[in-house]
Amino acid sequence: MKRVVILSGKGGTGKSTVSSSVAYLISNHLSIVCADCDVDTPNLYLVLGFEKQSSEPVSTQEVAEAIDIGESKVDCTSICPYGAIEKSDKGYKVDPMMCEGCGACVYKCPKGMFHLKKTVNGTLFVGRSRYGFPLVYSQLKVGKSGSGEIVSLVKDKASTFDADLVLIDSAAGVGCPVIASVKDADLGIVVAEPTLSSFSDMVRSIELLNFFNVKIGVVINRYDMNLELSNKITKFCESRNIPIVAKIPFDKRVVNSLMRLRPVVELYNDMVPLFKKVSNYILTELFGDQYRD
Amino acid sequence: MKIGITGGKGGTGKSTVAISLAISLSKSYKVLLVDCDVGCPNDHTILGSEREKVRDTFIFKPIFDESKCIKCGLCGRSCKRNAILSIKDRFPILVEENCNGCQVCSMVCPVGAIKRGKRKVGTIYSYKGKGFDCLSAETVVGFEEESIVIKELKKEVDNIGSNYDFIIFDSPAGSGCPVISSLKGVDYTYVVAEPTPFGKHDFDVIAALLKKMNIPFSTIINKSGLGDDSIIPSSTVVLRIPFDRKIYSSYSIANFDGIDEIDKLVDHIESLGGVYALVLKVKNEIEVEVGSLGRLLFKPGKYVYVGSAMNGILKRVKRHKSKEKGSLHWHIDYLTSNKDVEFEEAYFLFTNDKEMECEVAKRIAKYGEIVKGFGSTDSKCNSHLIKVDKSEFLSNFMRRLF
Repeated sequence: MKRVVILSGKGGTGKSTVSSSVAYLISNHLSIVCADCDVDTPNLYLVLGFEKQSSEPVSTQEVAEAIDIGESKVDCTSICPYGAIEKSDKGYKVDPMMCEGCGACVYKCPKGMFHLKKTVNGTLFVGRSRYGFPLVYSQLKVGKSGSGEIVSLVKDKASTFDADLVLIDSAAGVGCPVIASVKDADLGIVVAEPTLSSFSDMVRSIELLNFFNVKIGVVINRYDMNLELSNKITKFCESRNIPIVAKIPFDKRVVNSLMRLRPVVELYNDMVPLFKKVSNYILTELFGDQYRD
Repeated sequence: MKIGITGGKGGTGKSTVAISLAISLSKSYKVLLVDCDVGCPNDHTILGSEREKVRDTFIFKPIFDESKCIKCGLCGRSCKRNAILSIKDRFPILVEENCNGCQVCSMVCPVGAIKRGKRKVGTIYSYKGKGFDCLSAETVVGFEEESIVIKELKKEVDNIGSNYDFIIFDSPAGSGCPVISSLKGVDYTYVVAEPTPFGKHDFDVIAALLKKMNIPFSTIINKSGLGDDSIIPSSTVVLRIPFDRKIYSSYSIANFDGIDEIDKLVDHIESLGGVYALVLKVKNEIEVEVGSLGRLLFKPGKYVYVGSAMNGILKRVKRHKSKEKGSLHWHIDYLTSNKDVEFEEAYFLFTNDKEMECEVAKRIAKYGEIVKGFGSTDSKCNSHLIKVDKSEFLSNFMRRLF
C-alpha cells in the first residue's frame, strides 16, 4: 500500500480541486482509498460525495480539570506551557480550548489541584464516495485540540482497506495536522499558485517533506495569473531537482465544478489531460509504468 | 481594540483583508498588525517588507544525566507525546520532534536526572507596514505546536500593545488550536468567507467556534460574484468584496495597497456599540472637583471606570484618552483631564445590551472599592469607578461576561 499526500502550505491554492480530480482519475486504474486529513475544515468529502457507512466518536485527547478551587501559594497559571490555566475570583480554572493534555499541571501543582480526563474531540466518518471507492474523514469538535492525533486515526482507518493507494488531502499550513499527514507518505504533491505568499509557503512545505524524506512533485495552479512568478517557482523547483508535474490555468469552470461539488474532470472532458499529468506522475512514481496511460 | 481576522478555509482572503484594514485604520489611528500564521507567515510578503528579528523562542528540552539515571523508565511512561523512548535497563532516548517541552519528564524523575536544556522552535519578527507596525513569527520547520509560538508572539504584543489604538490579529487557516490561540482575547472578529460550498462549510465551523469562545463577529464575503453569495447567511454580512483579477495580481507580487471597500469596514468598527472598562492610573494623591459630586480625594493607584456607548465605543474611548476635550461633560472627564491621571488600557465588550454596563461595574466592584456616585447619575448602580489593586484580571474577566 502506497501513500500520496496533497499539501500546499498556503490555503486555498487548490488542494481539494487537485485531490478530487486525481482520485477520480486514479480510481479507474487501481483500488484507492481517500483520506480527508483536514480535520478542522474537511472539504474533500463534499466534492467526492459521501455515503456514510459508519461514524464513531474519537477520543485522542485528555484535558486537565481543576478539582480543588482553593487558594494556592504557588502561582499555578505559569505552570501550563500552553497558558490554559486561568485564575479568577473563584480560584483556578482550566480553559479546555487551550489545554493540550500534557499533564504538566497534574505533576507540578503542589496541592494536586488538577487531574486529567478523557474527552471526545472528534467524529470519524467512514463511507464510500459516489464513485465507489472508500473515503475516510473526520470532523474535529469545535474548540477541541488534538487534530494531529485525529489525522493519524483517519490515516490508520484508511489503511485498513485493502487498497493499492491511500490519497491524503492535507490541511493548510505546516503545523501538527500537516505533519501527521506527511509522516510516512511515499510521495508529496505540493499545490502552489503564483503569488509570493504561496511561493514562500511552498518552500516551507518542501522543507517539511524533506525533513520527513518524502519525495516531492509540484503542481502550479492558476499559473497564468502571474507568468513571471510561475517561472520563478519553476526555476526554484528545477534548482532543487523537483519536477513541475502540471501547470493548471485559471479557468472559471474550476469554480463552476466546485460550486456543483464535482471533480472538474468529471464535468469537463477537455480538462482530463491536464489532471492526467498529475495522476500519471503519481502512478509512475509509486508503481512504475504498469498503470499509467 | 483587538480585532481578529479569520476565515476557517484557507485562501479566502484573510491576509488581504487584515492588511487592507490596517492600511485604512492607520489613516486615523495607531495600528499594530500581528500575523498569527506562524506556520506560513505571509503578511510581510504581501507588504513587501523586510523582517527584522526580535528574538528566537525556545522550549524546554530534557537532557538526560546518565550518571544519575537509574533507568526506571518512568519518564517514558509519563510522556503523553511518546517523545521519550525508555526501555527498562537502558538510558532514555529523546525523539525530539515529538517533544513539546511540557517538562513532565523532569517532574516525575525520582532522581533528578533530567536537566533543563533548550530547543529553538521559532523566531519572532517585527517590520514596518504601510503606515503601521507589524509583528510576526515563524516556527522551525518540523515543530508541530504552533500555539506555543503564537503564545510567545502574543507576549511580544503585550509588551508593546498599549501604544496602539488597534491591534489586528491575522489568524491562520482552519479552526484548530492555532486559530484558537490567535483569537483568544480579541474583542471582535471579522470572518472572511468565500461564496462557495467549501466556504459555507468552513464558515459554519468557524462561526460555531467564535460562539463557543464568546467572541462577537461579522462576516465579509470575499470574491463576491465568483460563486453564489446567497450561500453565506446574509444576517451577519457587513461587506462584500468583488472578485477582481487586479487585486489578485497586485497581491501576488507584493504591490498591494489595500482594497477600497475596506474603508466601509472602518465605519462599521467605529459604529460598534457596547460597554468599555478603562484602566486609569492616578500617579499622586489628588483632589478633583467632579461636577455635582463636589471635591473628591483620589489616592494614588489604579482605577477602573466602566461606561457604555451604544453608537460607537471607540470614539468615546478616544475622547477619554485625550487630555483636551473642550467642555467637561461626564464625571470621568474631570479625572481624565487631570495631569496626574494616566490612561493605561481599555477593554471592550461589544453588545447591544446597555444593562451590561451596571452588571460589569457591579462585578468589578468585587475586586476593589467603589467611588460612590461616580459616573452613575443616570444608571441604577452605585458607582462606575472602582479603585482596584490589580488590573490583570480584567482581560479574561471581560471575556467571561457574555
